[in-house]
Amino acid sequence: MSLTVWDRHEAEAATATDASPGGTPESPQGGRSRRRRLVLVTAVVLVLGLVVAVAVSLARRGGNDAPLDPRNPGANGAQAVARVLEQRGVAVDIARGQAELADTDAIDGSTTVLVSDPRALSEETAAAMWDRVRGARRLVLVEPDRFLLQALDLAVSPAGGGSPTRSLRAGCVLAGLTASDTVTAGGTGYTSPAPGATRCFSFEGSSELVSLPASPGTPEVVVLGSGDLLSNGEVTRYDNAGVSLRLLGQGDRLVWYVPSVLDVSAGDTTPASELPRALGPLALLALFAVLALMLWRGRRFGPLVTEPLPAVVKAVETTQSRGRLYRRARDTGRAGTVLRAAATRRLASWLGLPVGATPEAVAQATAAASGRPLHEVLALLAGPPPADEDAMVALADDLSTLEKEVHRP
Amino acid sequence: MFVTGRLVALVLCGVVPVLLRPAVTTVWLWVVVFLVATALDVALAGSTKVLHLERRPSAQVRLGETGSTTLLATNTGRRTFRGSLRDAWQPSAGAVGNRHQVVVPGGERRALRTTLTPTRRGDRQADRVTVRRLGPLRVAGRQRSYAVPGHVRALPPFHSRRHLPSRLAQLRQLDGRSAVRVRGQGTEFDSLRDYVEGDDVRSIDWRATARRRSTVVRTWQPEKDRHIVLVLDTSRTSAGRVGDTPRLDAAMDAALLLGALASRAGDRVDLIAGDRRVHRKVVGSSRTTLLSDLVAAMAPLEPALLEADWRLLTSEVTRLSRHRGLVVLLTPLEPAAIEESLLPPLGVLAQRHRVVVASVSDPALGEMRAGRGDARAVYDAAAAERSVALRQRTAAGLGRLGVEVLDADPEHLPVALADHYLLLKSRGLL
Repeated sequence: MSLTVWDRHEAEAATATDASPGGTPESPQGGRSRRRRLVLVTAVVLVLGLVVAVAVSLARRGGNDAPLDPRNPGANGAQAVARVLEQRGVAVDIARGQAELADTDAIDGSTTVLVSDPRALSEETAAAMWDRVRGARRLVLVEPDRFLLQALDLAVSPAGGGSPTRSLRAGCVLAGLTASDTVTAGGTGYTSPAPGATRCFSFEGSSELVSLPASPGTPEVVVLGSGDLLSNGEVTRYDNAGVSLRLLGQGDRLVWYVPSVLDVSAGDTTPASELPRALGPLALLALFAVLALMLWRGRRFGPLVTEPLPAVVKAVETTQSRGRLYRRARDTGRAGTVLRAAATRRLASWLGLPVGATPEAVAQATAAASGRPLHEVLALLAGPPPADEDAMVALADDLSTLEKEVHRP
Repeated sequence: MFVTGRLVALVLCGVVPVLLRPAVTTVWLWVVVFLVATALDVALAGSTKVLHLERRPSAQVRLGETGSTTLLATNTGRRTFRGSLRDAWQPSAGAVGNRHQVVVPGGERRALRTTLTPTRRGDRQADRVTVRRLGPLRVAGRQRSYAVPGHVRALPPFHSRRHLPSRLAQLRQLDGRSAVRVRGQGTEFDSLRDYVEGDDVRSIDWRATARRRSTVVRTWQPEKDRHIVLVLDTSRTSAGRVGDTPRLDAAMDAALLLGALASRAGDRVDLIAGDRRVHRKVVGSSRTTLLSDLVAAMAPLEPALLEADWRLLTSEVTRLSRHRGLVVLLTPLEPAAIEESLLPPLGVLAQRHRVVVASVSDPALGEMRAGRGDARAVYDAAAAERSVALRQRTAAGLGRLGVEVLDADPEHLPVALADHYLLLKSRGLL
């Protein structure tokens, strides 16, 4: 007889290829169109994102949200103080950037100069500002950093740390301040070794306001540690309003200088902060490096391969579910009957009794083999069904013991 | 498109210009630099299509052993192809070391070998081959996947083959090839030889003795050229797992041992595997190739979640042979399935052939039966006893039809089946 190995899959595959000879396993057309669609979707998402970003930036251009800006009506702005000063007859000149500061009318002994954001000053712009304000009555610096204080050669240095209390009492006398004035705490503390310096709002050795007296060629310099007391949101609390107005309204005129970072020239090597100037650009570079890393590690080397999984069925599953059914129904009677029947069957075959032997006959033979009294064995093998679970467990144990006794003559 | 670790290094090299000129604009300039480098690299990398891929057919491998697949990559272009290649297989193919660094000069060809250790029986398919071609700067390149069909056939492991030598020794004893020779084993006339002391006087051939001076006895040999049909049930009941392997695999193991033994004994062995349809048939295989034919036919079989159509399977058996033979049904002793669909056609089959039902039992059932202690364990024990009682009832029903039932766990079923075959052989019942 010749060998025939018949394979249904091969037979079906043969007929299938006969039917469609042009069939290919993977159509490249489908992959290309999918990729085109992906590119299209990405492009649409990018364009939409761009449109949204432009729209948001245009919407925000109208508003001014620079902190302590005299034209910012928001909680962090200082429009309230500027307006009130104007109403009280103080001329408020707003100078945005170095050019506007240079264009203001001459700054004389009746002019107070406020620098609301001195962190934007570089060494050069700070020097230019210092030259411009030499003749002023008072120069108020809001939260200047160590770099600016050193650049202006002022004998004040930041002490760091915040006030432990929510408000601070002045505890000093200065033009525009009384000892009982109370302001919101929460800024930078400063210390000054200068002999003539006035320290106000002090806590733990540092002060939130330090005033250096005027000397020929330099104005009185007030270093204000907390700009909060000028802000629209805080100005109404404690004596903030009074302190602000009196501090800034000493002369007829207030030059409100808002320095601009755009004035900082490329050659100006002094960083505008205490951190290295390269830190920001390096962080940006690091961001790109992380993006490149994500692209490198995230690109999968080919698609995932799926495994056609087989049906996983445990062979004992039906038996286990039958056990669960018994348990849910608390069918101790049925479980007891089944256990008794099984024990009787096993004992019968062990003792050489025929398959159809009655429980009584098996009990007799078992009693003889184990040496137990007949009524006890009969109660075990053919007694009433167990009433509860405890009785059922006991019955199961007794049956096992009985079988062991019979097996061990 | 893809990028390499070099792109990250290139981006980080931007630290130098940023430190020299610490400004945000420097970073943006550097972004332009590396974007241009990446774009150039992708543009100059060249197409991945120049690599012509071809797969050599893989040899069959027994489950648990290691084989390999070879991919031939031919560079049809003129420029050197530089890049990498991933030969993806489905996870159960156990492909290890399937990522290859490839440098193929123009017009040359390279063979890429991937080892495969299948973890599941059957045909394990290759998926796509992904090709990455690096650009001249090796910062980025192009990536593309191609379908290169291929498969490796994982054969049934045939764990029970270690029992084969001992059963073959038993077979030789029956056969008269070894020293021990017991009269009465077998009914087929073999030869005549001179009487020696100790021979059974009943085996003296008086007619031949009369023709010669000396006493002559007849010798017998076990029957040869008997027909054995193995019916492998691939229906839902064979999908049940005993331990971690399906019952089907254990049944295959038993079928293979019996097939190997019977073919050595000189019997013809055929195989039918199916459920509602016949999936595989091995008919009339020669003695030397039987085992490999059986193994190859069984390899791709998977249990289907269908009820077996025993009417169809038994009619296939009937079509195979009109002479009386041994039919081994490898199907689990599931009372419901057997009583509903197997018993009716089995009556007819059992009249024509000697039928044995070999069933894979679950050792877990025995553990459940012995469960004691709390109510939960006792309920489970009662359920297990009920299952066992039902199985015994079914086995008794089969026995009334004259069908022998072998119910053993996967470890012992092949041996039990082989021993039963040897018993039938020695009694001349085939």
